Amino acid sequence: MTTNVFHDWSGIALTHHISIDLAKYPHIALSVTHFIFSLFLVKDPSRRCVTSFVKALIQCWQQHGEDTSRNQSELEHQSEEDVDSYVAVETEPKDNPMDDDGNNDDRRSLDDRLFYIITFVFISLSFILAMIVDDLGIVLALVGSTGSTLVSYVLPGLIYIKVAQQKDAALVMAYVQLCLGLVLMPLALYFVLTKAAHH
Amino acid sequence: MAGGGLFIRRSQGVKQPEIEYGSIEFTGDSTSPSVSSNDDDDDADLTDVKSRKMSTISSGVVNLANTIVGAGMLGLPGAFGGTGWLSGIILIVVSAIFSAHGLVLLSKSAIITGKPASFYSVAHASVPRYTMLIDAAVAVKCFGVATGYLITISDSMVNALHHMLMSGDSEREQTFIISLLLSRHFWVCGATLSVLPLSFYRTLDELKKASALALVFVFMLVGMILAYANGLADPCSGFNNDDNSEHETCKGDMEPYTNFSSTISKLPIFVFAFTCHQNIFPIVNELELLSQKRLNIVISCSIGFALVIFSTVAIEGYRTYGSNVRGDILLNYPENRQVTFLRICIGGMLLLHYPLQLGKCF
Repeated sequence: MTTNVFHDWSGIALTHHISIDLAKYPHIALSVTHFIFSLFLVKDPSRRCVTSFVKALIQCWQQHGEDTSRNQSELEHQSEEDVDSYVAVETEPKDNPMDDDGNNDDRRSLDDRLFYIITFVFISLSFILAMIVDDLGIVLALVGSTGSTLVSYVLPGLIYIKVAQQKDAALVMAYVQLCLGLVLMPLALYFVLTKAAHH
Repeated sequence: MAGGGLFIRRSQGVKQPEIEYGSIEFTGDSTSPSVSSNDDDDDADLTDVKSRKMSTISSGVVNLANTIVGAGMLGLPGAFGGTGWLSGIILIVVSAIFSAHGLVLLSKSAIITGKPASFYSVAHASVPRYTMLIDAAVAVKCFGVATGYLITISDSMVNALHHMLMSGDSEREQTFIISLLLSRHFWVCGATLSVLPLSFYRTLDELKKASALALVFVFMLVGMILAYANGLADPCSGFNNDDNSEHETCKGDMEPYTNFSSTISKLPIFVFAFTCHQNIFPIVNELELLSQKRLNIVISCSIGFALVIFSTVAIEGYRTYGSNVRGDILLNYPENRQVTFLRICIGGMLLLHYPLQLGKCF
C-alpha cells in the first residue's frame, strides 16, 4: 500500500461526499477500499480505475461505446423513474471532468451523469436500510413479497398473455401464474408487515 | 489471481466440444427453420456490432444458476423455522416449479418479440403501459438483494472478527478499535465503501468470471451445514458462554407445519430465493442455436441445481437448530476457525456480487 495511492483514494472519497459517513474512521475505510480495488483490478491492463473512477467512467464510456449505447434505452426509461435524480443532475456542480473532454456531446454526458447519480442513490439507500434493519429474513420477505413476486409471477404471466399467438395450455398456465402472483403479493405483504410490527 | 486464470482457460477449453455437440443436435432438430434462419441474421448483426461470443448450454446454466444462488439461500433455514419442515419442503418445490415456469414464459415471450431482448423491450412490445412497473419491480428486487448482501456481509464480518479478537480471554479490554471492529454499523459502512468504486463500472466482464468462483463458496457452505447437521461437528459448542442468551436452548423444536399467518409471512423468502428472471434475457440473447427446447434445458438445469442446493441448506439447517434458526443461518453457527474462514469467504463473495447486482439493474 503506497502512500500516493492513498492520496488518490482520499481524493475520490471527497469528490463523492462519502467522507461524511466515514469521517470517524477514514484510514481504515480507505485501506479496505484500496485492498478490494487492488485485489480485483490487478488484471485491468491500464489500471486506469485505480487513479480515479470518475475518469475511468469516461474512458469506459469511450472504450465500450457499443455496450453503453445498448444500455441507453434502459437508461432513458430509468430516467423516468428517477425524476428527482434527474433534477439533481442539473443542480450538481460542474466538477465532472466529462465536460473537459471535447468529443463528448451533451447527451452522452447527461446519460453518464444519470448513471452515476442513479448508482449513487441506489447504494446510499441500500446503505441506509442495511444500517437500520439487522434481520436478513425481514428484508428478504419484504422484497420477496413485492419485487420478487412481481418479477417472477405477475410480469411473466402478464407479458406472455399479451404476446401469445395461439390459445393453448401454456396460455392457461400463464393466467395461473399471473393470478397466483396477484393473490400472493398483497396477502404475503400483509402478513410480513404484521409480523414485522410484532417484533 | 492464478485460480481465476485457470478457470477462464478451462472454460474456454470446454467450449470447443460444446459447439460441435450443439451443431449436431441442431441438425437433428427441425422445429422451426424460419425462426432459426432469422436468428442467424440477428446473430450476425450482434457479432458485427458487439463482437460478443455466443454461449453454450452449459455456460448458460452456470450463469443462470450463479445468479439464483445468492443471499436468499442463507434465509431459507429461517424460512423453514417459520413454516415447519413439511410445509417448507412443499413450498420450496412449488416455488421452484413456478419460478421455472415464469422463466419459460419470459423466454417464450422474448423469442416471440425478437432479439436482442431485455425485460424492457419485451414489456414495451407487450404491455407498454406497465413498463414502469417492470422498472420498479426489478429495481426493488435488485435493491433487496443488494441490501441483503450488506446485512449478510456485516453480520459475517462481525462474527468473524469477534472470533479472531475475542477468542481466548473474554475479559479482554474493549478498546475503541476493537469495539469499532465488532460493530455492525462499521461493517455496513466498510462494505458500502468497498463496493462503491466497482459499482460505477458499466461492464464487469472480469468480475463476472471471478464471480463464477462463488459456487465454490456455496459448496463449502453446504458442506459446513451438512457437517453440523450430521454430528461431524458440534453445532452448540460455546453456546452457554454466550452472554446474550435470548433463547433458553441452542436447539429448538422441529414441527412439520405451523399456523397459516406464519407460513404465508415466510413464503416470500422462497419466492425471493428463486427469482432470477431479469437474467433470462441475456441468456436468450447469447445462447447459440436458440430454440425453446435448448432454453428449457438451461432453465430446468439451473432451477433444478438451485432446488437441490436450497433444499439441502434449508432442511439441514433447520434440522440443526430447529425453531431457533436465525434469519441468517450463518449467525447460528458457533465461532471457530473453520466457520470464521467461511464467514470471511462469504463476505468477500457477496462483496463481489454487489456490483454485479447493480449491473443487472442499470
